[in-house]
Amino acid sequence: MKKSIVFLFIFALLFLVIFLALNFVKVPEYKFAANTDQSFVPCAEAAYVYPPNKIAKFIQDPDENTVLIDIRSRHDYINGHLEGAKHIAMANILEKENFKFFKSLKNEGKQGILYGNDVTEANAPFMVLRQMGIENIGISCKPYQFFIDNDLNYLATTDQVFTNNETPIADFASFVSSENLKAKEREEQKKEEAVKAIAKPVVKKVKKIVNPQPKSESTPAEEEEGC
Amino acid sequence: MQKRYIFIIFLLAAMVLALLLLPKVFYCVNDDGCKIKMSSKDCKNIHPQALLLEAISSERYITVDELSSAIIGEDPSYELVDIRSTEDFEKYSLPKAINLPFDTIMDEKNEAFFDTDDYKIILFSNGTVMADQIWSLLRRKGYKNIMVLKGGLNEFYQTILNPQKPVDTDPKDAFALYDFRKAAGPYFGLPNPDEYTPKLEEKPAKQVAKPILRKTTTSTKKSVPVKTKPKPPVEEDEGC
Repeated sequence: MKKSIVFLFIFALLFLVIFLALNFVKVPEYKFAANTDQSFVPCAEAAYVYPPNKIAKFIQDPDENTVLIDIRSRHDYINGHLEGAKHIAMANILEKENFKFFKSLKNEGKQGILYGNDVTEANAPFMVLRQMGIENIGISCKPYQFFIDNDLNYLATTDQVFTNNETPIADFASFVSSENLKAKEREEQKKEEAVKAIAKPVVKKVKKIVNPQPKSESTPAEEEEGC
Repeated sequence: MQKRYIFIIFLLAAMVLALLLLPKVFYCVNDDGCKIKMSSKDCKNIHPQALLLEAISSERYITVDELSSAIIGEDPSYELVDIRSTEDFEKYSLPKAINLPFDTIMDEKNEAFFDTDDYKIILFSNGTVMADQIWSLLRRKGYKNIMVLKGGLNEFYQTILNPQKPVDTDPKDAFALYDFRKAAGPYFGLPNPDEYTPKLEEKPAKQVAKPILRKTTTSTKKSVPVKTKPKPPVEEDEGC
C-alpha cells in the first residue's frame, strides 16, 4: 500500500519535471524570415503597391500567376468581392493552411495582391507576411469600394495616374500662407469699414435732431388752428 | 529500499523547484531571423502572431482631434515624428515635430530615441500607410510606445486646417466640434478665424456713435407723447 503511494508520488513529480522542461524547450511555430532592413521598402514608389489600372486588367483578363486576395470579413466577402478573388480574413493569414497557401505562392513564383475596405487594412497583414519572407505579395492602392464605384473597362484602359494613400491632397504650406494673406486683406477691409462707420452717425445726428423740433412745434400750432 | 525512494522523491522535488525558480527562457527571433535563447525581460522582440494581432487592432492610432487637443494643451507625453522627406518637412509640419525621414528612420542612431517609456512617439506622414509600415518594423524590434496619426497630414488638413462646416440639420455636437477645429487652426499656423477675432477697431467706433444716436432717440421719444395727447381732442372738435 505504502509502496504504491510512493510510486504514484514519484510519477507525479516526474510528470511535473517533464512538463516544466518542455515549457522551456517550446519553439515558436512562426518566425520572421526577413530582417527589418529587408522588409523596409519605401511604399509610395514601390512596385508592390498596385494601381487600380493593373488590378482592373487582372480582373478582366485573369492571369494564372496573379491571385487577388480579399482580406475583409467573411460577411463582406459573401456580399460581394472582386471577380476571382480568394478569401483569407486578415486575422487568419497565419493559420496553417493559409500560411501554406502564401508559401506556395512564393514557391510557384505567383504574385498575390491583398485588398480590403481600406488600404491601411491590407497594409497590416502585408507587412507581417513580408517580414516572414513572403516577398511576392502586394497591396491594392485602392479599396474594394473603389472598384465597385468605377467602371472596370475604363480603369483597365485608362492611362490616368491614380493617387495613393500617401499623395498629399493639398499643398499644406501654400494653403496656410494663402489663408494668412486672406486674413490680412480682411483686416484691412474691416479697418476701412470701421472708419466709414465712425463718419456715418455724425450725419444722422444732425438730421435727427433737426427733424423732431419743427414737428413738435407744428402740431400744437395745427391744433390751435383747428380750434 | 525506502531510502532509495526518498532520495528519488527529493531529487525530483528539487528539479521541480529548480525549474520553477529558473528565469523563464524564450526562443526569441532576432532581427536576422535567428533563434536566440534569452530571458523574458531581454526578449523585447515580438512574435509574428502577436504582431499581426496588434497590426489589425486600431489601438495604435491617435485621431487628429485627439492629437490637436494634446498639442494645444502642450502635453509633454507625446513626441511627434514626421517621417516625410526633409524637403516636405521644411515646407510644413506639425508644431514641435522632429523629422526622421522614412529612409533613415531605422538607423541605429535613432534606436535610443525610440527605446523609452517616458513619452509616446507619434509617427505621421501624408497618409497612414508609410507610418503604419514604420510602426510595424519598430514594433517588431520591441519598441512599445509607438503610435500612428490616423489619416496623417491629409486627414489633418481636412479636419483642422480646412474643416467642413456642418449642415443646419447636423446635431449640436457637430457644431461644437467644428468650433473646436476652427479655434484650433491658429495653433497650426492659420490666422484667427472671423468668429474668434477680437473686433478692437469696431468697438470704439460704436462707442462714439451710440451716445449721439441715443440723444436723438431720446428727443424723439419725448416729442411723441406731446404729439398724441392733443390729437384726440382735435378730432373730437372736428367731428362736432
